[in-house]
Amino acid sequence: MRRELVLVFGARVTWAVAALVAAVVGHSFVLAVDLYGQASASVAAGSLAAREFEPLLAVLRPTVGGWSFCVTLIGPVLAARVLAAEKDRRTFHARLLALGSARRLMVRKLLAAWLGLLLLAAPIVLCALVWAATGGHLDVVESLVVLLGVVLHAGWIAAVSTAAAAWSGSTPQATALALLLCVSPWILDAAGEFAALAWLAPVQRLSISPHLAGFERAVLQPGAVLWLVVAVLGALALACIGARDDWTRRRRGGSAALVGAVSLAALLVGDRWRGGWDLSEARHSSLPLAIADAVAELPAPLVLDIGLDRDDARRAQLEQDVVLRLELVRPDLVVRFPFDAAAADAGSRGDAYGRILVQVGDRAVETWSTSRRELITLLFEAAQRPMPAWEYPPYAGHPRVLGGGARSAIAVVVYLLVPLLLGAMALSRPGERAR
Amino acid sequence: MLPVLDLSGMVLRLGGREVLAGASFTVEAGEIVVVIGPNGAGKTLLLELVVGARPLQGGQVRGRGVTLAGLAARAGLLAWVADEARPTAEMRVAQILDEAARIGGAAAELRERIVAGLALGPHLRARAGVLSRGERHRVAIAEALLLRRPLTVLDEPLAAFDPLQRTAACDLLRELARAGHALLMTVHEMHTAERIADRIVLLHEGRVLAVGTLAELRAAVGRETGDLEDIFVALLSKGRDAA
Repeated sequence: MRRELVLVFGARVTWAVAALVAAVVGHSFVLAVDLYGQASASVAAGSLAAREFEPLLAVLRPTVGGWSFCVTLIGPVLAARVLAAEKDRRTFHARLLALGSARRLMVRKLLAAWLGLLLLAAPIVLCALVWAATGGHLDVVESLVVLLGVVLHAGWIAAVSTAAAAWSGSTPQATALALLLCVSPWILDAAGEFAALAWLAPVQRLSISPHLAGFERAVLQPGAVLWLVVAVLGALALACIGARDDWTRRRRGGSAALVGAVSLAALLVGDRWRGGWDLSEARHSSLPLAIADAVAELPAPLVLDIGLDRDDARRAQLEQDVVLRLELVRPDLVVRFPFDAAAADAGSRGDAYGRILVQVGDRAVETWSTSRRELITLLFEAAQRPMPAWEYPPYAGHPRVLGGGARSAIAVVVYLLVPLLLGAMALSRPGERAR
Repeated sequence: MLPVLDLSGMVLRLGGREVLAGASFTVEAGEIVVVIGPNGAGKTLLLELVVGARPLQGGQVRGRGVTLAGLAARAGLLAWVADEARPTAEMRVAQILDEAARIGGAAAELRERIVAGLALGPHLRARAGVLSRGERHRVAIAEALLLRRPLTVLDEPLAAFDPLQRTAACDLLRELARAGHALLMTVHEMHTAERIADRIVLLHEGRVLAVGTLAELRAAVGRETGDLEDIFVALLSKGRDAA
């Protein structure tokens, strides 16, 4: 393992990339803090709106978003290099023979690549600490859930890149393939937002993004964790197969197809495992506790027929605001989108467009509202049961306006100190002589 | 005693062309077998098949009588140094050698002998990435030898040595062979092959033209004297005539 670690942390490129990512993550953080500060100024008088000020969603999430974007585009370069560099140096097969096991070597490569990507994630932790040090509020548990998502996301990129390198002959090939694989979820994600890409819907859940969404809201979903672990193990198995240069193409292809099929089946199981634990502060990502308990007792089936197509912003809002919260207490919730089935254009939508049918048991009611409270009320109305009081646990909110001094300090740390420190680390690493 | 390596009927086709056509020979314990042949004869491809860097399309590779079917079986028998192998650039030479010695269970004396034989002493504290091409290749050879596998397979191991270093390296390899270590290598320079080989395999257009000691090869072309280059040319001519 030492060799793999030296390959990652002894290389100039690792620290240079870390410096670049630190600058981007830092910039995301500064923008988030600025926006949060500007918005906070408007509720400084302590109005009711202050309760909506969550640092998790407004500061930590955009910072992680900056990292996520950056690591998707640059992470594969680092992660694939851990294995591909040995192919360039013509020592890969010698290492396989020295260790006597493709699995052992691939696990080492994966772990080293994973740790390298976690170095790139270090600025997130630093930004969170800076935020806390300047008086910003940060809940430890919900922040740890967000970081768990970061760790698993890094593991996925490391595993996919390792597999890409195992199946490639050189670093450029490995990097190109790894980048393609890591960016491909963006295409699948687009299927959820554009009606023109609705035909991609059957494979949309193969994207990593829906499985990371819960972590960003501090919701720990066993199904998402399982999905990510299976994806990492599947990619690792593919890497082990790709490393076997002594196997014929047919054997490698057949084994890869088998591993792919088994992984796919396991991914689908992970995807179907809904529900989870809301670990956000004051359970902000859930329905009010009394409501959640009562929804859990409603008779099955629980169905939402949402007459909105993918281009409609109300649909995304509904999915994130209502569906995610309902799935936490009712993993058996069935959500259908009738307009996905027909390639409906705006002209042929008819009067049914925008209608939401709420079905509980054998009774259904309809509405045109996408309000969370309205839809939950209709659930109880359809079930002909009284709805408990809509009361969230007390949450004061954490608006925060940063003063000029604190803001300058943040800017110096994230724009100068951290990137310069990492840049200095890059310069202190020895370069490699070409010949 | 069973040979350390027994190759029979090795076949490889690339792009529809048969680049190895039924190569067969053995390597005994304590023996240095050198594969020679003109450019494009298939020397490197042959070694890559032996170490499992390519899938075998025909024939068999046996180690001590057992078919080497998988990676683990090969790993128990052999170590490999590819042509122009460059060891981990970010590591210091001493770290690389220590790791190999630990995996191979090599004693400190053997490590010192290999370091001296390959003239690596002055570079132990240097990072492999700053060494010259020849120095890096020597580190790769030392690493493979420290794994103490019964057979070490080396592709053009002596190409990057100056004459003095080559003499020292040949002495080291001979010493290791005397201790029972087997070596299979390709060598481009005839006089080096002549100096180090116990037996020579002459490969031409994917076919083994001859296998034997220098004396046996001379006998094969009906000569009592002459260096390997003369024998090589004579065997090639004989092969062409036969074809």
